[in-house]
Amino acid sequence: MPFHTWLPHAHPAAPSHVSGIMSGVLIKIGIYGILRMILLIKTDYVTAGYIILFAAVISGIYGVMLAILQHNLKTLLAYHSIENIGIIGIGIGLGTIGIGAHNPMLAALGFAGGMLHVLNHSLFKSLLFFSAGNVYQATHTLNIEKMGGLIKKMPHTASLFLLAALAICGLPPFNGFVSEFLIYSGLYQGLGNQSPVPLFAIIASLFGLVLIGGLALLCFTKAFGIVFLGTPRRVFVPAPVEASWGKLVPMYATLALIMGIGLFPGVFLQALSAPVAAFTAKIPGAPQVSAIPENASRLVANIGWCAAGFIALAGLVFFIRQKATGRKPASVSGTWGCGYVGDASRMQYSAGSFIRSYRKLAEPLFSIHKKKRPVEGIFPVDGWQETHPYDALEEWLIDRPLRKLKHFMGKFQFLQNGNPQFYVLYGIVFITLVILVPLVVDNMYALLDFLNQL
Amino acid sequence: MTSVLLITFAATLIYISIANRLLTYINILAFQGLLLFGVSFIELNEINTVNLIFILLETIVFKTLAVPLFLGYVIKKNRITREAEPYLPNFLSLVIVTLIIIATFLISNIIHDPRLDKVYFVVALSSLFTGLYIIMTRKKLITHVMGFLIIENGVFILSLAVGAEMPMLVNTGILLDLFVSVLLLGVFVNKIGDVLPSADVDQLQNLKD
Amino acid sequence: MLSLAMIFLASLFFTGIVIRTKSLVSGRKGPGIFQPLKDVVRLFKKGAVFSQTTSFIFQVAPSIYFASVVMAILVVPVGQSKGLISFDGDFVFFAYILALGKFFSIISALDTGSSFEGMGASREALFSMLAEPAFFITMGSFALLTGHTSFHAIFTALHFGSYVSYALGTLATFVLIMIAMIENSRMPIDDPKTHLELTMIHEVMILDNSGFDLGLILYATNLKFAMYGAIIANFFISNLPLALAVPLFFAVQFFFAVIAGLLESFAARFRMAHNAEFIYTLTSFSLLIFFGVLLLMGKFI
Repeated sequence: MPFHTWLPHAHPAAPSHVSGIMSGVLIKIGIYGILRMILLIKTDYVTAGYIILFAAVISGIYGVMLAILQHNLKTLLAYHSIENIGIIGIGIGLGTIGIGAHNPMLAALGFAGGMLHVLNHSLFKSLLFFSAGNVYQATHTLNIEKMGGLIKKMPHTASLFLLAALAICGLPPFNGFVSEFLIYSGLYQGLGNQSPVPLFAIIASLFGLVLIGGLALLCFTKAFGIVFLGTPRRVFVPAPVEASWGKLVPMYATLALIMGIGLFPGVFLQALSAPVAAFTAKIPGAPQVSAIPENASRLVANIGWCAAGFIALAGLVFFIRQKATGRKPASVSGTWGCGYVGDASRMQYSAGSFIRSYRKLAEPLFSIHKKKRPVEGIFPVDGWQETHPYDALEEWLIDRPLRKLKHFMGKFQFLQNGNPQFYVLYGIVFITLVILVPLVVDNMYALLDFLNQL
Repeated sequence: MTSVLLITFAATLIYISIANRLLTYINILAFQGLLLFGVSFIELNEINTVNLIFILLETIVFKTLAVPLFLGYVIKKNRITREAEPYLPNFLSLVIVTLIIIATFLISNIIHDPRLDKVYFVVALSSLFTGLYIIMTRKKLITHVMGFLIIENGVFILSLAVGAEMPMLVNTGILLDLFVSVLLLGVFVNKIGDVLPSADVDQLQNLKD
Repeated sequence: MLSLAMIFLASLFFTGIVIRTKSLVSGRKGPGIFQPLKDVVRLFKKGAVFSQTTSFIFQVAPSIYFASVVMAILVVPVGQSKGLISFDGDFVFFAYILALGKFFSIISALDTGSSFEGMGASREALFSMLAEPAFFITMGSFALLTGHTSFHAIFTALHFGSYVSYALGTLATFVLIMIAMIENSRMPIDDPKTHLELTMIHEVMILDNSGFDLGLILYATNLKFAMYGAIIANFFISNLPLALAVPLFFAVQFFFAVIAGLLESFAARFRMAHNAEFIYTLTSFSLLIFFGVLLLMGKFI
């Protein structure tokens, strides 16, 4: 967790398609490393599992809590990568505990959930980054406070972003739900048969996973709502246009995969059975025939059916609605503004205000830098407020030690005075020291020995 | 049945962490007294009658009636404002008190003493820490007294855990402790209320030499 | 199938009873029990007005919201009879499908570009986020207690034996009633009768909906209420034979509605700033339920 700080800086700097690869492949290297290590080592798996679980829950919650505060679209997505790595970690941690506790069901569910989430995350996160890239190319900014109403200008990008956002929140008809559901099943499975303290770890990660889900919902309603919905907060010149089909086709292909996993999770789960078997084989006496237990695959098939059923149901309701409202008058008018009929685009809820009550709750945990000029007097002239969220962990663990170190090192700056003769002198001093120090130390030891013998 | 009462007691601790008004604090303290009455009534049926009546009287008369009434009187007499004025936001207090309960629960798992009932231990210890926390984070002097009373309740619960073997002495000690502390702190608050215009702890810092 | 029919039936009169209770308590005669239903039917017949700010999100969101509530109802069992969908961990599906509906209602509120609706959306997102852990931990505790992980199996395996289990049942009922109140934006959290947009949560989010869409949303609210009533009823009727369970189901629904009505008559709405901590209290209580379950199972010592 404290080693995450490079990511939110790297993502906004990279072009969007590279960001997609970065979050899809690059940051999964760590997960791959953990998985390989679990295969290689022979150790107390329960303890290792707890360590992974603990780190994962912390980074998951902290990542999403920070993500909500961000105003830069790609930084926000970057913090979400941290959160999703947390979810994957919860799955892997559970699986490791399962190995340690000789519980093949728990191990299979944990690893399958974690690995499926690796795939899922790389799909929907790249889709999100691609959409963010389209938005950036249309508006040339990533500050979401300046956007708004883009859904009218770029409907395809907006719909893709919306579906990917639903998937990343782990909501049902999409793939995110499948992997999160596997992890949930693992957690409830783990509640079954353990002693109190492990139970506690499980209830804590359950709490963490639920909280992550809720916070992700808050975060993506904010991101989607502020960027794409409402009225434009600023006039862009030239006006934003929809991205070309060359960009949209790969995005739709990614979407097809997302929907595919959401609707037919059984197929993908079977594909996972070989790698999962590698892990469950570590349990002595585990059934070797099929890594994914029978009821788990039935469970997942259920999810697929429910997802399809839900889409059908929603379609039916919408169809009835269209039928019923088709012949009725539907007029178009302004948004209800409490009687105010002027231009209200500057009065809309901004990203900052949307999360204000959340920020008030979470403020003690983060270092948020606020600048404001409050509105005063009977005839206020001008007021504004800015918040600059900053990562408290980064500030305390990375920035401050670095600053201290820099300060300390700065004291030696007089040495680098640019005079070559001095550099030669340093060389001579160094060589002398190299020769003299061992001699002196040896003599010191001899002296100490002598003193001891007295 | 006692565990039901004790779980309710833990719930009152959570409630007190988000209470805003001093009146709510007093009501919760009275309710806690009632809960303790219930617990001791059920738990201590083996000790002799006089002692039992004594304990029951102590819980019902002192903890449930006298002390809350006295606190209410003090508040009214000194015209202390009704808000509790915490230093930290209530949401944070809630999280911290929940964490306290979880932590004591975890601690209780380390102890392997068959004679000690764990429920008592968890509730007693968490009310002890909650009392300390309330003393730490509330501005008013009167809330210090209340935090102290919560600690007292915690100690009482812990002594109930060894209830049947508890000698009369411990009992009297608790009563005396309670009585004296409330009296002293009450007088203290009264005097401070006379001398200083407000009953905030902030003012006490000026007394350091 | 039975559960679906019964919850639909209960939803027909649920809000009516709440409103009737309120009017009786305040000394009025009040509208008939089916008045909310009549309102919905009247809305279904009406045309609609759309804001020019809105996009297709605003058109589809009410349908998806309604569908999500119906889908959630399919999961809920009544008594011995299973819900239409039932599998291990179905309450996870239940909670997440409701969250999907909420996602759409939030973004449809943001779609109008109105600052009031943004305010409501912000509050709804925050409060539902805070309420969710309470539900999951409560259900997790019961999953631990019974060893099953689906609604139907949990409720049929649940039987009350000792004092502690009664206390847990009471506490769980309290938590669930409060979650229902939060999800439906009723009294201690949100006042459906308020006339000021600044103090609304749910009502302000649907300011711009009209006609068929508004009817869908209102009826979905009725359904949601009846659904939570059904879950609470399941705590009491799950072990009874069907002939006894059905009347008892409606009795519990009736009592739940009366309690909601009484609560709305006598309690004042919390200050908006205090809502968060109140909702979080539910999570603390659900943790107490968890500890109680551990106590009950003897894993405590």
